[in-house]
Amino acid sequence: MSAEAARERDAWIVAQLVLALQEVRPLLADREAPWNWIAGIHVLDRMEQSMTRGEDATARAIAAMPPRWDPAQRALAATWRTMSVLRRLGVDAATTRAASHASLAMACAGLGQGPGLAASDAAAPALTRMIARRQGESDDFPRHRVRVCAILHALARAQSDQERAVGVRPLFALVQEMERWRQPAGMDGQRSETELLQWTLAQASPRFDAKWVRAVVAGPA
Amino acid sequence: MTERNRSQDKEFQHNALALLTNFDALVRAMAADVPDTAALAAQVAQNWRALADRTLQLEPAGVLANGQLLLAAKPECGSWVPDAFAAGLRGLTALRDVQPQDMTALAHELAILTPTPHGTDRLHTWLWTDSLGGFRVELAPLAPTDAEQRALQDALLAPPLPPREPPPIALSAEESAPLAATCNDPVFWLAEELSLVLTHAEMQPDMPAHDLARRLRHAAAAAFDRRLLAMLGALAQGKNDYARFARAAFEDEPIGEAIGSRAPLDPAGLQQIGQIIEGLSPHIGGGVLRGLLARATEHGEVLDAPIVALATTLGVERFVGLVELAILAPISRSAFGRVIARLTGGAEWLAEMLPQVTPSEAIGIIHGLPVNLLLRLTKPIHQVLLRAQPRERSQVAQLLLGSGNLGCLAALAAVLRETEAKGWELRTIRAIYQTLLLNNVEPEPLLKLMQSSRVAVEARLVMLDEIARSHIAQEGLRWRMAELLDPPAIQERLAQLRKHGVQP
Repeated sequence: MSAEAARERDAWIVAQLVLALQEVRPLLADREAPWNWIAGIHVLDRMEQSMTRGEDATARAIAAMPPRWDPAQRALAATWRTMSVLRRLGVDAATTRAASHASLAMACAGLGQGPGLAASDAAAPALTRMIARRQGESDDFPRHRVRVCAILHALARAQSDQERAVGVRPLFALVQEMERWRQPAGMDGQRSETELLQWTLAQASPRFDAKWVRAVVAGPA
Repeated sequence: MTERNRSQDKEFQHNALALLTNFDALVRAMAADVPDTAALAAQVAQNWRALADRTLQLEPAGVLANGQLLLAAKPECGSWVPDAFAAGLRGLTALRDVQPQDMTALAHELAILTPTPHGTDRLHTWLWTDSLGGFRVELAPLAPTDAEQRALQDALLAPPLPPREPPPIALSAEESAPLAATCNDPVFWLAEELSLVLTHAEMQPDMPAHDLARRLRHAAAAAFDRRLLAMLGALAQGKNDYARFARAAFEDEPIGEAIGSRAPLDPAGLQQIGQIIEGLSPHIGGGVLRGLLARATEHGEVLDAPIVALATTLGVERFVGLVELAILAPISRSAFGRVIARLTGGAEWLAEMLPQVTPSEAIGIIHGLPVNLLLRLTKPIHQVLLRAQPRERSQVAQLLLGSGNLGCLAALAAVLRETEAKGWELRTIRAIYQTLLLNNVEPEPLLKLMQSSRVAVEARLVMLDEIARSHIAQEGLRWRMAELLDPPAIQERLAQLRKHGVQP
């Protein structure tokens, strides 16, 4: 790929992520409001298109977001991380999209100023928002909605470590936790992507399934 | 291109054209609110399933199959194609089990598609969210909006993205494969989603019971595991409306057979199967049992014990009623007989059942029975033989002769006499005479039968040959006044045997 084409691709990806970020902000504005599914889907569609154009460029664009790391950026980063891991693993598109949507909703429910809520605490309010129908919302993607809500339902009701370790559940908890660690309580500033990955690799293993930790930290080649 | 390839290509085009014509008609019918489109949808599904290459490509000008434009977009037909293309739809591949309702759903979305940004965005979202069952969809991004163009211009003015440090570790294929398998496990998702809709009733419209039933059947047929039994058990015992709807939906899915043929048969599995049989309809319960019997047929008697355990809890009467012999695969009837034979009161049930079923069904049942039981069932078997066709009689005779039991052999001789050897294959008559005479079972009656003028000449000749080879040859070949009245063929054979003995 020529330098000019790469530059154009990178710009296209940045543009998509800027627009996605604009669509995330209203989702965070009123955390009690019913979830805006269409807005969520637009965010994911932009993220997916960006990754299809360039996995590495998307990762660079996420890492290069202005270092304020406000809740919207962190929510977008959580969504990207979930989608990135599942795409690399070769998970089917429908599941990848639903899982990424669940991550976005959980991040929007749990991440604020400061570390925010863990997945197990953020899942229930996220589910409440997602089950509540927005007035005028068209009912034309039930399979996606069921899978997204099923993920949140399972995380919200898991009582034990054993239940939290079932299937793909650890991924959501880990991704949420990473965005909490990005801005720990009492710390000025935030961790960079590189610091975050090193910290995750060192600290997360005792608390999270090592296989998922490795899958998350491995990142796009 | 060979003649054969040309012919196949022509046939494919013909079939694809029929599909597209019907599909376009379905879209137009739905746009016109035609009340009943079920038959057309079924026809389209059948057309699509039958296509050698089930992929269609979309271009603004029309729909292509195998690279050839077969449906041109015009106002009178295919008018939906340009808008579907604008929504990002590029290709549709029907899966093997695509259903009429999938066709209806797709046609509905295309029928309501409007040539507006809202309309194309709506279809794009619908396809993107995997709302279309039964298809693999190729979806392209929507055309860029003004906002996207502006954002792109801004991004082009920004400094280039900095390079990224390589990831600190790499994930091997051995590490990623099990994680991917976990994420792609349909049973895991089915369990998660069922748990959701059973807990949150407001989500139930998003997973209709018939959709659940279909997915359960698919999962059960693909790779059965214990989680499916747990889900089915929960639905079988469930008291709420959703569980009731799901139970009703199972009536349309051959899920019973899938359970019976694949479910684990350890004590826990048997208990769950028992719950499913108790909680679901007789139709499904029967399917489970028939699936189990098919499995027992394949794997032999090693599987009889768990099935007997299950049948014991049901009781022989309920077991027999659920299985429905008339629809049980003929190959499974032997296992069915073996299981009944081991149930308390099973022999009495068999004695009562055999005269009521067709000879063919009866043969399947008695095929697996032990000798001691065959002996107890000689009366009903006698009745079966009287009603049976020559070929069926040969099958029963083979079973009874193979038992080597004198009582069974005597029962066979009695039927042969009673029928005066009419309706028997000659090879079977020969086998019966050979075995009975060898075992010295009723030699006198056999001799009399051979001498009877009421027996067909061909049968008498076979009997005569076997008697001549046996220990009663001398008696059989002795001259009798009555033989003067015998047909010439008998007289000639007697003379020949007396002069030269039995020819090898």
